[in-house]
Amino acid sequence: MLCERCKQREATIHLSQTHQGQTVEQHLCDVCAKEIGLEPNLESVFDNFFGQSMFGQSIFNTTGGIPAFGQSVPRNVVCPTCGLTFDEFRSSGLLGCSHCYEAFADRLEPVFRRVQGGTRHVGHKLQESPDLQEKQKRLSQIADLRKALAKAVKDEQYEQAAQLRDEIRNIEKPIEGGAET
Amino acid sequence: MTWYIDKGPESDVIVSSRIRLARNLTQFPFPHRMDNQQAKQAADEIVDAFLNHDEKQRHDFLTLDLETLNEIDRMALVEKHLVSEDLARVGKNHRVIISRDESLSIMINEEDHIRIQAMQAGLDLEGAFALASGASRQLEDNLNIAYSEQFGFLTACPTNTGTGMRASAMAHLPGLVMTGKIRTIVDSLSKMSFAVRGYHGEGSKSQGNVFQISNQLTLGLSEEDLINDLKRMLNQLIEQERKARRAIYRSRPVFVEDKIMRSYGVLLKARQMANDEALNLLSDLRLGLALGLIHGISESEVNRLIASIGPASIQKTHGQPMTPEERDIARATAIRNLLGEQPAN
Repeated sequence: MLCERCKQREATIHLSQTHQGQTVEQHLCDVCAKEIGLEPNLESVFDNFFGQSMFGQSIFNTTGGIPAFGQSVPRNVVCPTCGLTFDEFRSSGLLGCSHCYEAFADRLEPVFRRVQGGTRHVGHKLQESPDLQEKQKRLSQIADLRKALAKAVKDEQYEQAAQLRDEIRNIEKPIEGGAET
Repeated sequence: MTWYIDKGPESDVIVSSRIRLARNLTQFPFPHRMDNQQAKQAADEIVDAFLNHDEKQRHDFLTLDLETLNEIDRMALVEKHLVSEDLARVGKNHRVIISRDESLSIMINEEDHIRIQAMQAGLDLEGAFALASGASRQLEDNLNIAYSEQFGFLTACPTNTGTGMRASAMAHLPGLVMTGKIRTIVDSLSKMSFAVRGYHGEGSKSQGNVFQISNQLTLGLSEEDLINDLKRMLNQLIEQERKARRAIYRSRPVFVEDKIMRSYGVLLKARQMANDEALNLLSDLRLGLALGLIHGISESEVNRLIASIGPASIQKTHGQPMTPEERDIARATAIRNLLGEQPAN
């Protein structure tokens, strides 16, 4: 089978990947695979990830994956939460805390482009506790009702105020009960 | 289900399936940047979140503090794949929560605060994923888990970011090794962004023709897509391995039978045996079972044997430290006992 990109060399790399239920197949030769950034093996991914590129410059020194040729060297960014510098990350390969992701977001994107299947998470989302969500919903409801109650009292709408007070009590009950468990 | 006791699907080729999920807490630095107090606090919170919200859970799980265990007990956990070698090394508040059936373990303060690991017998990545994600949901309910809309689950190393998931299978590939096809296959698997390693994961060499194959990517693909890609590749690999076994047996029946029966003979009669030798001979025995040349013992019995004869496991059974020679004698005895020959007098 010929490489579907150059249509000259024999395809040696056969990729099949499922994305959102759609399977895409690709047949490429070594040269084309390299050109579009597919690394031939794990070692070279890690060499590129942690080590030096062909030009003696680490990939982390570049912004957006473009060599910073002729540009001034960017300042070393620091994570405000844990104090890890981007240089430290570059030498150890490990981030300091979860907030580093925000602090280094711009510089991490090209890293992910190289070592990962994409730059955005499409998998399972963090499970928000249903109990917690329900509780929060009720708490904000109560806050709204309390505001309305204060307004009703101020406007001397006592019948409406009494109604609102009962409503608040009704919502508050299950929260107090739930807090015990 | 315990991977080394039960029989799973495609067990002639796939020994076990594993899912690992990495999770972290927002309020602490990652483990390599924590001081002792932070490490203790994080570990306490995680154990509490998993065990103290559910009475049954407390009964079904066991928490171990790696620092309080001796070297033999720690390494025995590694040999059963319940903890990683990194966790078994002395470190700040390394703990592990293990289910009584040993199908689920939660490593605390390894490279990430939380590493959930679920194992199943044979090819059953979905079963392992259901177990692991169930445990993850429980932790997510009770802890502040580090997560961002863009990057997903946040991990210490960017090679785990996103799903935080590593799905893997232990594949027994003697046919592909004997026919010499293994090299090309390992190369092409790497090109398809799968990682291939030896029996004990990262950096280890293959022992007894068992290879660990896993996904490399964790960001930009969903858990289901990653599992399906791995599973589809494994199904092809299983077919290739079976084909290689049939081909070599058809073309050189005496060679294959001789190899298997010699190994069987040594396993039955040897009086002392090193672990590496045992793993290689048991690989031949396993192949003999699959080809129908050996009867009276099951693949799961072989798995259980392998999980019990590692250097640490054998000492744990013995109850005290042993010299290498004593271990080799105990190992040979355990093997003879299982395969039916009376112990040496």
